[in-house]
Amino acid sequence: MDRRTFLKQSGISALSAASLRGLFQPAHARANQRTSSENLIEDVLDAALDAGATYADVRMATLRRQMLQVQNDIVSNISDAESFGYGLRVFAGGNYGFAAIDQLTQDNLESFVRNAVDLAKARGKFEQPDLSIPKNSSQEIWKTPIQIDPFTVSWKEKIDFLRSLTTRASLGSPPRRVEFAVANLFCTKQDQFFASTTGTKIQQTFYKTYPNFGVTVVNRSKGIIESRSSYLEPQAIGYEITTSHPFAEEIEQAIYEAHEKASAQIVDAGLYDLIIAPSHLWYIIDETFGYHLDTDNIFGFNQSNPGDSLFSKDDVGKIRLASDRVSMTADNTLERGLASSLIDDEGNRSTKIPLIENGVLTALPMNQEMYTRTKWNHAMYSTCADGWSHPPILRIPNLVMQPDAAGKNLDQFIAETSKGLLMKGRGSILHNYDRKAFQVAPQILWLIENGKISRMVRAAAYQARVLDFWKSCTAVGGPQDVMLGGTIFHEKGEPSQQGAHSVSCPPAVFKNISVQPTAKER
Amino acid sequence: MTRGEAQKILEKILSSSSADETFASLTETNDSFQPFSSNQLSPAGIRRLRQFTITVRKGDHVGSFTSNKFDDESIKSAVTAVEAIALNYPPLQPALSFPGKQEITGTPLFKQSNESISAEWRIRVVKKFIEQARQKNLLAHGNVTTADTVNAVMSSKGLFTFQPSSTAYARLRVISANGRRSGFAEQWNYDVKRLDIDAIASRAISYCTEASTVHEIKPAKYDVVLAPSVVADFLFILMQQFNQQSILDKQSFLRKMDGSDHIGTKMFGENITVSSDPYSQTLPSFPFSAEGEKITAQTWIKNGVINEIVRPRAIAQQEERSSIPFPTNIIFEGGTDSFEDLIKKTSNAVLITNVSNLQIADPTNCLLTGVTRDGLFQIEEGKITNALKNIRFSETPVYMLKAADILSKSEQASGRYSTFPMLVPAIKMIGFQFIAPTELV
Repeated sequence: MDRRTFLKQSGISALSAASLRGLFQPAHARANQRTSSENLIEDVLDAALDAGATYADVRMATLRRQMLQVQNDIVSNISDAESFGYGLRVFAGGNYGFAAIDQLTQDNLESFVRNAVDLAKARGKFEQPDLSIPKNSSQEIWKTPIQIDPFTVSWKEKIDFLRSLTTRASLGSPPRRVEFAVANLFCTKQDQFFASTTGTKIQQTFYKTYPNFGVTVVNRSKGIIESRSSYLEPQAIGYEITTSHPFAEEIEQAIYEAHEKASAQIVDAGLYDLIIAPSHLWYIIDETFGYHLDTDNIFGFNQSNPGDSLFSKDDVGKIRLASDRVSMTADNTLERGLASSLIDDEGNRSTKIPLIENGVLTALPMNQEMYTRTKWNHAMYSTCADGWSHPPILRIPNLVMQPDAAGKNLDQFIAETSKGLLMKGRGSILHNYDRKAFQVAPQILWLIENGKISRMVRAAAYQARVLDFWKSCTAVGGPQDVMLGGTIFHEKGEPSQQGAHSVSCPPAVFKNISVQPTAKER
Repeated sequence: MTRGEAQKILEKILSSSSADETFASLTETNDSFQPFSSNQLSPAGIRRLRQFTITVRKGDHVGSFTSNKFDDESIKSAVTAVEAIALNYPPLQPALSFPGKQEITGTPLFKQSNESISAEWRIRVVKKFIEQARQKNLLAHGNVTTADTVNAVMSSKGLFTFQPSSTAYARLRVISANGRRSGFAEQWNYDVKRLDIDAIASRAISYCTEASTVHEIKPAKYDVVLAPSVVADFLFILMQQFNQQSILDKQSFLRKMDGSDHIGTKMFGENITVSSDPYSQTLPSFPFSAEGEKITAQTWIKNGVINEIVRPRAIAQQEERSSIPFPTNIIFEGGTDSFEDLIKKTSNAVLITNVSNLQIADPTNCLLTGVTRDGLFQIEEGKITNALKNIRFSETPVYMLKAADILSKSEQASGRYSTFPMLVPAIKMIGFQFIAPTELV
């Protein structure tokens, strides 16, 4: 049947279907009727239904991506690319099929649709997961709230900005000398138009801007090289982040800390209370819980080994993952969240849901297929495709570790600690083969003795089993110290898709964690 | 896309640019993928993509821009964008000139259009893998893909070259229900009809299930038989160091103490000859590099002597010599016995079928650490007697070639790390270093 008939039978009259189309017309198309792209999309959806699909959606997207790097004031890398195309999902013969094309015309439209439908039917012969069809039918426009579109800023201005960071880092003679300074700027913009056979038409525009720097210093007398990179992580934000973030202050802080580290003693082995600043904690949340909260890993859908997940699907609502201080939500409505949107790439409304309540696992992210397999209520749709040419897959949503409303700040935590370490910055992590245990070397460690920061230490790593670590969390900080971390290079799937999600958290305290030196003093 | 269509598109792109020199590459990919995981289908798709990259030189400034929009307005704005990039890059002294006109004969990489391969065929292959795994109470992961590609490049100095190819690929990894054992096998071929699906299934499953007892060996040096997929991975990584730039960067085993290279040094036995040739009858490959350089036959190691290394264009231009691009295939001459016969003739050794988690511990001698994976076995008196628990190793491919005792006949092989066509033998070698136990399966 054609889509107009389908809409009619779904209770939407032909008149209202036309007025729905009239309701939604992007500004540039108001003067003339629909753009040729939108005509093509209407024809694609009709053709899909004609070919036997019971549902179809199209994502038409333009993606622009720029990377810029300056090393010691010299531009070392400029890259710029754009991509445009259509991704079609259909539900036919009991399963999903997907096809993507960039040079779509009336001539190749039929074969494009046939590819998706034939794939769905072939998959349906092998498995019929009895998938549910999204029922929404809204028409809306949504954009990442930004002030400055980074793609309206010239290369000169961007280069001058990064140069200002490396120049500021390079000013100064010993003991403040910097051997090597690097600054990066990464910007993306994705315009995505989603249209489905249920009448949904949603235009979304996503922005991500990520400036960062790193400084490297050398302690020549000891032969030690140390680095400290910026703590600002990627966010869904515009170019205004380059002026709103206090880079000048942070560079001074970074140089100071790098020099302290290069002349610091190696840590003594032992048990310490860890006061973890959010610049390090977000990274630990992501690395220790992020993998396990990707529901595909629990079901073995991500080519993982059996026995590698921390919990099974039947543990939701029962298993304790952390102390009762720890609560986290999954939130794809989070301001500046990298995974935030109006709808996900399967067309479901983005929401938020508690994932961990007082330490107990209460929900998981999912996609449509998983909903049908599990019929979970305690779940939230969270899917994304890396551009128009990939099918949407389940992705980790933005994670928000809830601050304690009456929680203390970092200074107060330090004052209460007799033997501890204040940890900042990402660092590097090694996971056990089953991801149930880990070892982390944080970037910056300050020794705390009798309630005061005494000196910096270096070459330290702490180890723990994931559940033991999180159960040793005795206190969570207040909202005043919350920081937004996140990653834009999270790889998953085959073909590999890059995903992005944010992790927001306050500082927190973890008691009696084993810390080991990773080097010997010479 | 035909040769004529590619030429027209590239000419249009080049004519929109008024830079001193312009270079454009055009790629069309029509591919399909059907991955599977834990005996179930994963998200699949069929894609048609066409994109170009334009690179311009304005004086000593060079910049690139990539797009997939081919209408006149978009090409104009791509040219504007790339010229802005070039001017913001610091000048290169001297800037590289793009290649000019030369004859580059195509290679027979296009066997048949994979567009006619139906989704049903891919699903049938996956179904076969999953059903065979289920019969042995195993979980199957993997992927089945087919692709048709076209690559073409053109320069404002007269170069134009066009190369279509077709590829088909199937991979199966199986894991026992208790997660303690695994097996892995994969194949790719330009001709989908030559993929031996049954062989992939039986190899992966036998590596996972053969010899029901699992022993543990202690870290030490052992005689080993390296399956061709392991030799492919080790040799592929070693070949990255056959590069004048790596030698300059002190990241190559071919660097002498005085900074010069080891060309002419006899480093290995007479039995080691490694070459590449896109026009090989047995395993042809791409005849030009991404930058449009013609790839000629090279012998990298000749009877154990280091014979040639890659010379990137930037260095070649400075030294006023011709460049030697990175190869697009590797041919390692083997012996006469098949892989199976080599095992039968081995009295006592450990058989390593696959490796993973490779890291370069020391680039100056290409020292690698990693773990054995997906099938480790004891060979005794020519027979597989026990399966072995995986173990960490620390070894260099340099030593693999030095201590290579017997080479089997070469076969097309690939592992987790090799990314282009390779023809390599299985190798029996002495004194392979295992260093620590692992629980990794």
